[in-house]
Amino acid sequence: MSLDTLNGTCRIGIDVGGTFTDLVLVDRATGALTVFKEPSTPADPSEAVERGVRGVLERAGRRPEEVELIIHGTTIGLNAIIQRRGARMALVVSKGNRDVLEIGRGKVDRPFDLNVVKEVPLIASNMVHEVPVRILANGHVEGEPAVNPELIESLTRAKVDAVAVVLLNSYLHPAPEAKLATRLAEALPGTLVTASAAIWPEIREYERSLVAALNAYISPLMEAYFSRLTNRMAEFGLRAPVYVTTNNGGTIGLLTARQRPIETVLSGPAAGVVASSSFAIQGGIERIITFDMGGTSSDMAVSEAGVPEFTTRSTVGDFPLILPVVSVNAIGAGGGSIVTVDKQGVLKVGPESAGAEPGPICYGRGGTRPTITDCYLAMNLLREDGFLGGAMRLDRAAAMNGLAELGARLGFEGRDIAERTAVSALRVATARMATDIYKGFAQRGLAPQDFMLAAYGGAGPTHANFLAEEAHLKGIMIAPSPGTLCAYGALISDLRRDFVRTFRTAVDGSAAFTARLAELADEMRAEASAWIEAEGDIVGPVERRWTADLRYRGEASEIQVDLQEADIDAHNHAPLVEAYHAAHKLAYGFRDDAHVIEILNLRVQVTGRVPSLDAPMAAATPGPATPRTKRPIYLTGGWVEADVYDRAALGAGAVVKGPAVIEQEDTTSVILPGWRGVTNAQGVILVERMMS
Amino acid sequence: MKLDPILIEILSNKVTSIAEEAGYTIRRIGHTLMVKEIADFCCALATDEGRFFAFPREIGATGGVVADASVVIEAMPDLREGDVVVTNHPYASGGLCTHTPDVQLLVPYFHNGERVCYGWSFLHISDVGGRVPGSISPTSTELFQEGLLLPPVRLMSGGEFNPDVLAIMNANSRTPEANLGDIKAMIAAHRVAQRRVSEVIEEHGLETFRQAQVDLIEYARLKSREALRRIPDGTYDFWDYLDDDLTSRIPLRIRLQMTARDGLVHLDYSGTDPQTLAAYNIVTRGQRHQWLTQRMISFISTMAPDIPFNAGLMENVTVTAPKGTVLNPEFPAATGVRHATAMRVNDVIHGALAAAAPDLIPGCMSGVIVPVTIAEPPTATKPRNVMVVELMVGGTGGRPGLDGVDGRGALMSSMSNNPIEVIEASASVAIREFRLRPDSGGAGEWRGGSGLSLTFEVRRDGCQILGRGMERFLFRPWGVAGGRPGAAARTLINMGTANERELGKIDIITLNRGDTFTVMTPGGGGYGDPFARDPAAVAADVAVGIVSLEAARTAYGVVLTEAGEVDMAGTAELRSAPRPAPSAFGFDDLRLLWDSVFDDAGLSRLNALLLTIPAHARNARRRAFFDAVIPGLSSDGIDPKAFAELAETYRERFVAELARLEAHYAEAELKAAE
Repeated sequence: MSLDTLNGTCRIGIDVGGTFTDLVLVDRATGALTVFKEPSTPADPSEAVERGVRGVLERAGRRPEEVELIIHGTTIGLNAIIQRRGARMALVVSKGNRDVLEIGRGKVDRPFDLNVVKEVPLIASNMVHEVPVRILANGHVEGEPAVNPELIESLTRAKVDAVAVVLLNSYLHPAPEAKLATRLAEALPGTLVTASAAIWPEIREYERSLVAALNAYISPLMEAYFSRLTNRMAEFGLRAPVYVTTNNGGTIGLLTARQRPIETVLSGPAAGVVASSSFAIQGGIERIITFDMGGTSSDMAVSEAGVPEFTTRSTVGDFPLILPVVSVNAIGAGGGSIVTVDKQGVLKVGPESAGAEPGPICYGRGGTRPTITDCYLAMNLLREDGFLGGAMRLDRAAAMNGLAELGARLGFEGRDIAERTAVSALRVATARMATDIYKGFAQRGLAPQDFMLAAYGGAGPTHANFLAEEAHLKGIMIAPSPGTLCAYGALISDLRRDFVRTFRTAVDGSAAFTARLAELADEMRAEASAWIEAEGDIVGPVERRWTADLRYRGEASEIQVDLQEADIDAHNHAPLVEAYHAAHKLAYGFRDDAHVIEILNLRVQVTGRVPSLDAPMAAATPGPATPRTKRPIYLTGGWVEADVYDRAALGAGAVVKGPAVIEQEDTTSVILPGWRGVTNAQGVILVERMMS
Repeated sequence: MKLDPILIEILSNKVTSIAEEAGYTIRRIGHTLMVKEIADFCCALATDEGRFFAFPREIGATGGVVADASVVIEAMPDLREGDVVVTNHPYASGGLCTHTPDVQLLVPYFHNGERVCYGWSFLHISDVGGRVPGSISPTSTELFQEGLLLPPVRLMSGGEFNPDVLAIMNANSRTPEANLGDIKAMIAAHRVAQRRVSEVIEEHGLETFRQAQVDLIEYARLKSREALRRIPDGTYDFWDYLDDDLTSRIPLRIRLQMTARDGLVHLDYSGTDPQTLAAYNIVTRGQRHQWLTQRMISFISTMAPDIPFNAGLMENVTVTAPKGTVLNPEFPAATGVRHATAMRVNDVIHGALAAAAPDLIPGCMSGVIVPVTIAEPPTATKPRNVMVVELMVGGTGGRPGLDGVDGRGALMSSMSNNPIEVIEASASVAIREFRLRPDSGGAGEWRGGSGLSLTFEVRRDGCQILGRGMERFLFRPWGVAGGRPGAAARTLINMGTANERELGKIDIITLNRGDTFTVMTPGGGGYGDPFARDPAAVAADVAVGIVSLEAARTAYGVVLTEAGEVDMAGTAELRSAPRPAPSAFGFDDLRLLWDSVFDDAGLSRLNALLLTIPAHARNARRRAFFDAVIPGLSSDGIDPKAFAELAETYRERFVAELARLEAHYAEAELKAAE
């Protein structure tokens, strides 16, 4: 592996979102960033990518052949799952398990709702086929992984594009399932066949079925997209390798992404968290909550010491996902959340959203109900001509009318009725977001005053100070280009994959445990090495982080603890045992050294470092910054005069006191009275309370 | 409401969040199965009168929003800052606690030396002593068998544990450490909630915080009234049965008369059966109570999804439950398995609502049935292994415009099932089939949800299967608006072999290597006339195997071709043939027969009589009465065939026995008067 193959002058990070395709180009020598936004083209997203790449190259004054690396995040897979536009699929399961997707884990959301429905299964029951082969819990194979002609005929007749194969207990012994998949693939040329354990060999047949089925479901679409993309790139002379961002905050090569597209479905939010974590750690900030506020919703994630929190319990569309992903939760409202007054005269924000279409009233696209974005405009936090660098004009008068109408129903009167309604709606929305943060913290046992809010997304920096004040957070942190942060996150992502083996036994010094653990680790290491090897030449040093899911026998939940590769190889179980007792004491206040500890899963996260570039540095302009102008903004209590700054003029050391508005092409940041922002060496604005 | 409409919304969010943060704290710090998997705990904020103004929506057991802490508050008048009250006594807590493992804490929250509200929590702890591990068993016959009883006492004083109380608690449990861990989780949750209450008061002021308690309950009351106005004014009667009460095989009746007037609803449970010797009794004080109004929460929150979750939700509902019945038992009737009765109470409310507003209400849900448990004999190296094989739910009822949910989501349950692979990794069984159960959903224009069918093979000799307390083997989940009932529950061994045997209700059976055990859960009741169901929907159900060809024809009047397509002409012919008009409620035949013998008025008269004799004598008297009508009923149960043949005889005997009993008590009363 050689780093020399990366010999261009720049790299490009791309994030394909629903509304915009964002691009960030980084100069290899100086670290300077060039950002570019291009309206997305949902019918063929590669079209916007191509235009965007041309655009960002032109803006940066570069030629296609100078690009050494493209890292690319896409929501195509996620959208296909949400909109159910994936492959025509069949599922092949062991006899007796045909209703695995119907039964799921037996639960519905909202158990009190008389009209509750369960999700429509990803694969309809009449497309599920049973085969008389399974593995028993002791690893013994029952039946033969043969394919009978009726099955082939039925699948052929159904004209399926993809088939997922899930045999009971295949996580223990993947060979029969793999053999069956191979035979099916041979008999069904042109059909993609996915074996569940090949994607994710973890115990629990429903969740594993979903991993396999979702992977197969989005495969044809993703494959077609990647082909179009590489063709377009080649056509205009761009030869750089393309990598794709992943759910776990890493990236994988196109070859892997084609085999394992499921790894990419939640990559967009993950990349934003990765970028925020990187800015935080460079700026010496230990703890952040990310706050990505977009049109329809807001997302939060926790990151400490530059490492995002991971989870193995997330959801994608209607389905649970057990792959390790950066833990991102939706909170409160988004810019499109609709403001209403209910029959009892109480002000409500959401849960309905105007989304991008028709969008807020001020977009002038037919929206008739006021949204949070309309509130920003009414409060003069946003400028009518300042949205997206002036590319889109907002209709303030219409927003004011809509809000005034609601205000009358709240019993407001007077000249500033629309503004008061806007401030009130913002208070309601902000209180809701703050409680969501508090609930997230109660789940983790964390204290909000230790955390900075890392705000990004179009509306994040506009709303962040309100939220930080309400939730008693330490402050806020605004990255240089908050509107394209996910694209920047892609740019700095390392290669990363997770591997798992389910291994349920007592943790003790017996050979049955230590030898088997070492054997599994060898197997996982070999698999990981083969993958890294295939990923091409961009990989630097490789790190492996081993963890195990452990619990005291009889307890209901496990704790993930770290273990050292050297200890595994040395058949030394003692450090693992001690790590678990200590983790248990930390979580639950006691340890029970006499209790049997059970292992459930062995995991390894493999990270191949991509040679990093120098972080971009901001020019120095220390001291109080000079406002470009002033303008009144409406806050609780009435109009105040705010200083207005251009973000580009705020170099390292620049100090901005609230009330202030900082404008840049992709967002508007608000600093409230009593707060003060200082730009750091990376160009990040750190906003904290002023000492009185 | 006195607060402004912005503060109402903000404080509604904040106080709800406090209750939820407390709940998440319990889940984080508690470490037992009841906390982590079953989420059988709750934390809420109560007014000085003991009504909840802040209640969690998204974490823990959320059914108790109507519970009332007033009796405990009155019992402990002099609480100081740092005091924590504990109780698990169903009667002494006034029904705040409904069975002994649910340990309740009540904590006065202070701010600047002044009490500002109460915090309340409960957690189903692992064991409080008593007859059986876990402390609850349906066959406990009095409260004293259900473990340690704590009337409201101080667990902590001035922030310190009361060592005497703690010592008593520890001495009376099989799992004192696990208990203490969970209790500490609750205490940590109260610390979080108390701190957050103080933050809210600091930000908004004490007056606002106090006013919010009143206003939020009022806000919920207004929204609930609006929802309840969708029930047309009138009086609606409904009754339903548990198959039996475990200590006898006599069905147990829950009877309700619901009266609705302009969004005010009264639930009168008069006519319900007397308290039982089984641990099926629900302690309620005979008033509005969380377990007597649960399905009303579903109704109200379905009609008003944005309603604040607090005591105001049920302010427009009043309840009567006569003393001495299973829904308001006299001390010391056992209460451990009161949720079995509550399932049927829910069905009865559901039925009364359906009688009132059939356009809004689904068919009957099949409900949860008890866990199927396996006990493996010990080996040289392993102790006896007892584990729940699967927690089985059935289908939900068909709904106007929507089929019921197949194989998922019995209301009230937030538990996940056990994956096949996890079961097989933990017990010596192989799951041979786990599927939606064909022909189990009640037929209807909107089909009832399918039940489940689970078959497992035992891989060792001498394994015991425990299934005590399974329900709906006799009386099936009924349909609504012309819909038909769902299938009854079944259990079999060695299904599909020469040794197949139908077991019916099981208590404990022993199986050997190679034997299979099958349990089938009921389907939900159907909604609307099955002959009005879209034939294409029937064809689709047949294609995936959850409706049989035979049922398509007989239950739905739909004829399918060999290729599985609808034979339009054949279907039209079948559907136009004369048939009896569909009835409002689709009960099963046995239920109709039973009602023809034991009519509503007669049973209500019987129960009124039984309530006049002392509690300890009631059960024996009732048994004797039913055995006089149907010889052997209390020990052998109902034989459907014999019942059908002898219904008229039974009816005559019932009328005669009832008259005799009435005469007897009239005479006794007369004597007593003299």
